[in-house]
Amino acid sequence: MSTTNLQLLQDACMAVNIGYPSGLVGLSRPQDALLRMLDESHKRICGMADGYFLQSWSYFTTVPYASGSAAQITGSGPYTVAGLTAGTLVSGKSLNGKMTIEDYSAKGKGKDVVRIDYASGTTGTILSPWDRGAHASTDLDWVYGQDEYILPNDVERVSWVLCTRNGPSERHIFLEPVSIETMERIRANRSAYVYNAQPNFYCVMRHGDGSFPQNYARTLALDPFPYKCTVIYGFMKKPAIIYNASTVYADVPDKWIQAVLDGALASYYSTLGMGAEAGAAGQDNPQRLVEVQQSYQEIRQEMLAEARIGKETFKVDPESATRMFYRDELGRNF
Amino acid sequence: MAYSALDLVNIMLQRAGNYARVTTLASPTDEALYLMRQLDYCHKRICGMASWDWLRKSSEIQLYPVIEGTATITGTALSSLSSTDGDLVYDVATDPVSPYRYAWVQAANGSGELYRLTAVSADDAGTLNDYYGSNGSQAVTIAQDAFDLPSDFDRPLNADSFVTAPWSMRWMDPEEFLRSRTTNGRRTSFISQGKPQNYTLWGENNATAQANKRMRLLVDPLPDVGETVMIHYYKKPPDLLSDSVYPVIPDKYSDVLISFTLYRFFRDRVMDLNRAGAQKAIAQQELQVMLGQVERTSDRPSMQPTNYRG
Repeated sequence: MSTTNLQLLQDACMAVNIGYPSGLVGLSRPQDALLRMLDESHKRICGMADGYFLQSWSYFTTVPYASGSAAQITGSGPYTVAGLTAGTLVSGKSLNGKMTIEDYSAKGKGKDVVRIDYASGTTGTILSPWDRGAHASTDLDWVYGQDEYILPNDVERVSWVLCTRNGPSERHIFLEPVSIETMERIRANRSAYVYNAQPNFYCVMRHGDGSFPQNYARTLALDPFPYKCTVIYGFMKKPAIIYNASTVYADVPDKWIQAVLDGALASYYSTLGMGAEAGAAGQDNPQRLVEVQQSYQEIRQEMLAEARIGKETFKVDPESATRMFYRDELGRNF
Repeated sequence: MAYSALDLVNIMLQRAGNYARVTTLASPTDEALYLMRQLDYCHKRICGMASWDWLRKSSEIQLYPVIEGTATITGTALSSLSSTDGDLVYDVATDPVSPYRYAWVQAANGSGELYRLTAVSADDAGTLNDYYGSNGSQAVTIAQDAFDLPSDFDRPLNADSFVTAPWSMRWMDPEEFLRSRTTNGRRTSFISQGKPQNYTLWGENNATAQANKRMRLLVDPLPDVGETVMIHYYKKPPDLLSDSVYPVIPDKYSDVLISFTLYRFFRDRVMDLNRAGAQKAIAQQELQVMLGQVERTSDRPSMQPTNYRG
């Protein structure tokens, strides 16, 4: 059995000697505060290491590369690119793609990469700065590829990425992780920036744009720009939100659940459970705080000592290792 | 005589200050409820502390074979699967989660694309994550490489060797395992059938249903016959939340369980740090005795110095 948030809250209330609730709605203020503290403690413990109980996997299908030769630029800012092949842009996804459009302004900007947002199946809004003006003729060459994919909100850290080709022959690739600098350097050395093939590299980069909570969602970048592929990835998930009016299960296994409790109790004894709020009982609470903190540390050590958590390999991309070396040896970053 | 969960709670109620006994854990007093919950947590915590011989268990895992046959694919719906290798083993009454859930699917109409079977709705029907070939009846290959571990699986017997079969099997790190069967791992075809030689573990903890959140055993090559392999592991202890459940910790160590639980009761409920300290000292001392008496057998894994709370 896994422990629920209600059960944890009841345990915490009993530990600090206040009435315990039978449900998660209509909590008293101390009960509500304890539920938040349990949530914070749970998240803190889950964030400490790549525990096996956080391992997860998922998949998505890529938006395929497309190109054409009949685009036109309309509008006056924001500008619109029209005449794309139907289905090139996908609502909600195309924001994360890149396009190059043939230059018509003699400014030598034919390789300029612009970001496009979906407007319709055949038109997109140019989001990047655009100083080439409009172009009514439908004769511009264009190339579009979507290299970035916003991962679901429950993805905390990506562990591995596989890519299965949906093309002329079966290819099942284990993608290599690289830094964004390395990925851009690879692209810059190609004849065409938006180069289309089955991806070989990935980079887990910035968080997605938009309002909360999407701005805490990871973005996975692929290179080369993919054609239609199925991407399967393993990850460590974000822990369940314990501060919840509905019943949810803690991710931390039962054998270490007392660490979650003790972490919350330490927060309680150092705030609400001490001083005037705690009344006469508060006088003993500094000692109880020391006790629960010690217990918390002990259980955490047991948790980190388990081979499946403690033996996780530290991984960096080779360039990061080089930068770390220079920083350590020369006291500066490059 | 071994103590049941009810016995243990009543013993602790008495030692904690002559609190009233309870006749059943189904309707406990506040003190009994707190002791019962902490007893359960302490029991599980002690079981997770070290490589206890009395938690060792072996269970069989049924591998399911690659299915080669014909099926109709329309959109992402797969139906009318027909094969002499077997079916998708789906029975909503007894086994609502087919062992072929998330199996790999390769269909003839197309260019050798690989899909995932995201749901199974009957012995011969399911749903693909996507589909790019032409609709219609065609040859299909359905291959499962990930299998549920026993529901009481807690951790493997050894960190890097815990599955045996009448042939040789080798543990691999998850990334090494996944890389080995890809094109850049020099595999020309992903669907490679045979006796599984390599295995690893990866979790499915983002599953929607709580019951499906568990570790899964991944094997490679994909099983051609679907034989049974044996997994060796430390089991999860039972929940000590009902009257007649017994701890898995041997009787002779009951004091450790009682002292650990009373430590928390005195610390939290009674706010008596002297008695809490005394119970903790006893628990620590008894734990050292327990660790010193771990039975030694020829295949017992070496204990890691940091793998206990000494």
